[in-house]
Amino acid sequence: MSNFCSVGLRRLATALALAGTAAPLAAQTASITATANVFRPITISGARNLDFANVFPGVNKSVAISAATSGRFDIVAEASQAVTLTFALPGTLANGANTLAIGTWTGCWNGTNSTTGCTAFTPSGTAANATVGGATNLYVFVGATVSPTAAQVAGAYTGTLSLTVAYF
Amino acid sequence: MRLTHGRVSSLLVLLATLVSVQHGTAQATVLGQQGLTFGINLPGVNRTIAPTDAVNAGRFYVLHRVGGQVRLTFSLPTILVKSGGTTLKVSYSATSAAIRTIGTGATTTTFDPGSATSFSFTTSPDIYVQIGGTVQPKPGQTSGSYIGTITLTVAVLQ
Repeated sequence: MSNFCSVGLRRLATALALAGTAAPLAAQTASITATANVFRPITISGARNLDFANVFPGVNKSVAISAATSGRFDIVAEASQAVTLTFALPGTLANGANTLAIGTWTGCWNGTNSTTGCTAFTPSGTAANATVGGATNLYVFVGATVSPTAAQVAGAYTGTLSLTVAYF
Repeated sequence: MRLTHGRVSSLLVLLATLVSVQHGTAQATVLGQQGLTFGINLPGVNRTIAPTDAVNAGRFYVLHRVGGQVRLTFSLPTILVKSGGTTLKVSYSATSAAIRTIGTGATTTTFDPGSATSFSFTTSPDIYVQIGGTVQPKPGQTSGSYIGTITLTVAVLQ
């Protein structure tokens, strides 16, 4: 009895010593999630030029977004995702050294290729938010007004509109 | 050695004390406070989140005691998975994790989440443990939301 207790105490002491130095006294765990969303790359194409056709000196001319000659950009992106639309717009159209003032920009976006029910925005303002349609398409329509002077030189005037689309 | 009633009583008291002390020092709490968020990613474009990114890095809160010591061990996913089973590779570097102390003179120290790391609490009983990483969408990576689980185990050493 005496020897048994003595051996048992030594083992107990050894076990306690080991527990106090080598092994952790206790452990706790917690978990979090790691998440990533992968979206398809955005493609954008200038689908239709903004065309004012013939204009006359001293007579302003506007093209509405609903007109057949409004500008249109076609975008393919992740369905139903939010994007920003940022335009770089000219203040004038050019014909060599001659210029033609352009402004009063109007814009509208839609998930379908129609201006019916589209959401209006101002292209010349800060970046506009838009939502890609459920079928991964987004259509952006642009209109504006040109203001020929009374002495506007005759000729063909052109300029470039650029649109940048980004997820946010 | 011969045990008398008196010695048995003393031994029981001693054992009870040891158990009590160990139980007392083993108090530590770990909470998952914020998920690791890689946000929007495009196929073929890697994205790295630093462990110091307050908004996107994953964050745990660990509470122990001043003078105590813990060992931090991560269980990290190497892939994130979307519904349907498609996977997205995720990796970690030697500086993808960080310990941010709390209070006056707070510091941030990066470490390798792939190895267990010990930390001694000297001025504050609590710390934040933060985790970043890099997702590597391959070209043609399927669109969707990918998810994985990061687990931190906090073992009390002192």
